[in-house]
Amino acid sequence: MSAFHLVINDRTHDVDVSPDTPLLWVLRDKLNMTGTKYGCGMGLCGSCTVHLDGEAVRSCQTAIFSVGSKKITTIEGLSADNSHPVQRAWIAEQVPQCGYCQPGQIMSAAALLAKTPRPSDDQIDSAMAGNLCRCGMYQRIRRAIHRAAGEGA
Amino acid sequence: MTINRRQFVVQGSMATAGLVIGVRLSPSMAFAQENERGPKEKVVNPFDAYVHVKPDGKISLIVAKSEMGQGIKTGLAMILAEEAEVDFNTVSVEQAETRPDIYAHMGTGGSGSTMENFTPLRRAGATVRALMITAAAQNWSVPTEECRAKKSTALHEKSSRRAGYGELVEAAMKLPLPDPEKVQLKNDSDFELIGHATPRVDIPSKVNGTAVFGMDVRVPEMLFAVVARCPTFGGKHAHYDATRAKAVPGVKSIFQIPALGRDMFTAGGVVVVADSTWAAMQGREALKITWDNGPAAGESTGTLHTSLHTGAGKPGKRIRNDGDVDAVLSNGAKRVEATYEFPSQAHATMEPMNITVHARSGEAEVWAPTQSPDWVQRTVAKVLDLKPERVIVHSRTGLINTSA
Repeated sequence: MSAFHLVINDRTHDVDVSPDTPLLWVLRDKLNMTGTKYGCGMGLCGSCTVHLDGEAVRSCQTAIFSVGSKKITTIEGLSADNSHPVQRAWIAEQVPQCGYCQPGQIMSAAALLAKTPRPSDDQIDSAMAGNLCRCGMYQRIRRAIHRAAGEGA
Repeated sequence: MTINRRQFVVQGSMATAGLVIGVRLSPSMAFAQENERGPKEKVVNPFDAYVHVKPDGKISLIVAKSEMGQGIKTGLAMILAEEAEVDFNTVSVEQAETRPDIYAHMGTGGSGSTMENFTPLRRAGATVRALMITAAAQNWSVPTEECRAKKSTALHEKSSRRAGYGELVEAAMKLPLPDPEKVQLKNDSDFELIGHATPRVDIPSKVNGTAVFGMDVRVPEMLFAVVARCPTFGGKHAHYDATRAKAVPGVKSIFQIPALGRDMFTAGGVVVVADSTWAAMQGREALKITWDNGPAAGESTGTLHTSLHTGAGKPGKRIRNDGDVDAVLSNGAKRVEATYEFPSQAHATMEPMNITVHARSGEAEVWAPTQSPDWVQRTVAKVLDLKPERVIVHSRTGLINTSA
């Protein structure tokens, strides 16, 4: 066990876990931040996507020791009142069905738009390729990203 | 209040203020599914949903339909609100308790929740509207036919009188219930909700991480368990060595569980319990298990393919034979043949199968993403040797086809 000092959604958290523990399980089981989802645990589905200093990463493949001083942003930190342009677009386009993959989809989309404010369909498809949606909401996700881009995400 | 035992009743057991109407929803499919399960328990109560008009005029529909993203909590509210003549946002759909004694049918499935419940819910809504209009007309001593309802308000335009549903609840409770099959339904052309896109009520919580899926249930001091399963259907572990697994930090306990026959739909395996999911997974990784692959040992996609092809070549069981199929086919001018293959498909839900159980003395509380909370109740009761009614099951929001 080792002590780690984490900055998550602009708040600090101290945890004592084994250094190889994935960030996903620190969030979900140690800090009860369950918005970030466990899907496959192998970096294949994208449900666990969070931001490290603004970069979209798979938290199930991110060992806690590798986080260092990077700032962590989770779905809970995007906005609690659904005011973030990506969240607003997701509601406007009625994107989620079951919704389980959506925190990961939204975090990937937010990271894409931060770097590429006006993405093309190809740029969207390439940035979102690692996020699976079992309900098949891919067309709505694409529309929502365009909508958020139009609103200056 | 007059009780029409055929379809509607006021439930004395639901001791709540306001008007409560019992509704009989899905008949056919739910019964068919129960029959498949073998001996079925006696259905004590013919209703499977309740409409509760509260003293503030707001309406709850209490129904055992699980929200899996199909939008059922939105759709059912739309149907009820349409006929009751209330704003959509004054109707909330509440998940029924897992009480097969109160709700005749607890399952959600077969794509039937809207189709089967459409007409019964329209009638229930129309009953609410009729009761409110009748109560208002009696209060005002005017003919019922001169009154109508709009936005949770009964109106008598001739005398410019109006009364909110909330004010009318008490008077409505004293009225006889109309025959649900004869109550006046709206014309399709007057629909303002049905057939009109309405934002889903479950979506806002699904874009900010606050929706609580089965996986997200947290009970103070809970432990996390994972199961090492035999890679073949029907197989089991022959023996296992847990020495290394027990040494993983955080692992609390390791034990085996048997499969529980077909009706319970559970596979056995070796369970690792730990203080976090990660520790439990590390423990499972460290187990040394020798599997007894059982009767399915040696099966593969290839063997299934072969056996299906062989089976398809044999005469099938004839379900219908209208006319003379064999004669017509043999005399046809052109014969078209095709072979269609469909792979074995897993539901492959994004949310892994999961359940949270809080076992206490003489009872248990359970949270699960399930379409069949009553099956979950029976299974947990059997495993923990409890009476089913001592197992409280909460259906969590969630998933497409994550059935217990």
